[in-house]
Amino acid sequence: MSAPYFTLPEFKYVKPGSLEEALEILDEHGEEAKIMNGGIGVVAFLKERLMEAEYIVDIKGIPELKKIEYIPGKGLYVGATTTVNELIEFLEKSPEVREKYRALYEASTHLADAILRNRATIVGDILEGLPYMDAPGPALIFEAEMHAVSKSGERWVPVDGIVMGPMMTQLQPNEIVTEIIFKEPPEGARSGYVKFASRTEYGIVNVAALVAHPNDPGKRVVKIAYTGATALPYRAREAEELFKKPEPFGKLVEEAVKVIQDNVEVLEDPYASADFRKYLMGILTTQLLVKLARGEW
Amino acid sequence: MAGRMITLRLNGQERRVEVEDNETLLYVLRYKLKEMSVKSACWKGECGLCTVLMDGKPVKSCMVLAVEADGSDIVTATGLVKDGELSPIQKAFVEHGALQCGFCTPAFVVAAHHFLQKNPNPTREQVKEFLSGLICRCTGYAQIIDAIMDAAKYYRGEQKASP
Ligand SMILES: Cc1cc2nc3c(=O)[nH]c(=O)nc-3n(C[C@H](O)[C@H](O)[C@H](O)COP(=O)(O)OP(=O)(O)OC[C@H]3O[C@@H](n4cnc5c(N)ncnc54)[C@H](O)[C@@H]3O)c2cc1C
Repeated sequence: MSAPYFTLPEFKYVKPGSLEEALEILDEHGEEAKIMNGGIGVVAFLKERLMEAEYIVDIKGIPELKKIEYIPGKGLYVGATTTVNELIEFLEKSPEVREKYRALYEASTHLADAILRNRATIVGDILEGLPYMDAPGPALIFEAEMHAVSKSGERWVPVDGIVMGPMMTQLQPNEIVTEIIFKEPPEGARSGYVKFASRTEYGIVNVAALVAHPNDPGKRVVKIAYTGATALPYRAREAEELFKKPEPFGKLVEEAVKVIQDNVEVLEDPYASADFRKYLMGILTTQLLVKLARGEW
Repeated sequence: MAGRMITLRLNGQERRVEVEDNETLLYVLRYKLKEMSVKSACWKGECGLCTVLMDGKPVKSCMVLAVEADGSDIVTATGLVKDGELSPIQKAFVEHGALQCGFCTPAFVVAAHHFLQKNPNPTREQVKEFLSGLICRCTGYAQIIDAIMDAAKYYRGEQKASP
């Protein structure tokens, strides 16, 4: 049979039962081995012949990669194989943690659909690296880092900058991400997420933002990040800096939006023009920041 | 490429089947195990019509490798029928005319069954949000949502399944 997505290219499937075993396999096979997590992205890329692999290494059999833990003052630790639905369930059972990580919760409940979220993972969503992913925006405003382990050592890698393109990251082929930490948000912060999707479930502009002490310039913190609009997840650091100025919040929002629209290199594709994306970034960012500042989000 | 044997429980029955590493669960369920209630349509995780319960949770079987299902418990719409009698969610679909061509129905009932078990008191909004990964091109969804809202009473235990 030869329907276009019917078949997958040939590969050997391996499912290590421990981290040591997995690292051994990756070390031995290098670029020829590809990690599979929830597999939604990996299976899709294989079907489209956008990815090749001699070995598909399923990491779902490694027990310590499944976890969710909130440590006050440090942050929210999410295991690499923890699914998006598992995170949503955890946050719904812990309202205080959910309020701290509102933008992550809102992005998760809008990520793909309720059925795919039983397989899709937060870590996989970030590492897949397509422009419209929902998990990277919240990861950027919560200064998330991934714990990467290989046979030769371990390191914490900031999510900002980790993705270089579709299925391309700064990680080495022999490294496995074991978990991601979403750092403790600043005291008094509120956060939120807006996904603007037109025809499909893929957002054409997604905004994640965090605001603390909007009317107290000395303590004010604002963080803004986008996906969907740009080829890679984009943290609007220059705009964030403006909020250190001792001026009214509303006026700074206006300035910030202008800085973002002037500096950002936006995508242009069949779903939306570059102009429309910039327009949406302006409107959605303004609404989100103002509502967060007023406590209405 | 050498195949390998996997074992899974399909609707309560243990089944052994030889699969290739690069075959999807959808392919194996439908074309090797002849479980025809699992529909094959988009193959890209979009339409959701190949949805089955895997270890109790709905998954789109075109996005799962068959080897991943080794040792797992799979339930399809066929498995909801007990002793030749439709389950409450299936009856509700019939009563509400929640189908026209019927192609998407097995996926909707099996997914709705899971949803109502977890959430027997849903709002229409929650049902809609849950259904966003399943595509029906005939009904416009209104009757499907009616059927699920109505069937919820069985999951709350307010009404017995058989009259
Ligand atoms: C119909 C459809 C709609 C979708 N809609 C959305 C949407 O609205 N929003 C959205 O954000 N996404 C969407 N997606 C994408 C989907 O959510 C992602 O494919 C999924 O979240 C990826 O996670 P995964 O666990 O399946 O990763 P996988 O596919 O298993 O892996 C993805 C990539 O990350 C690497 N990787 C994964 N885990 C690790 C690890 N621990 N260490 C090192 N490398 C690792 C893999 O090697 C691979 O390169 C959609 C997908 C489909 C099919």
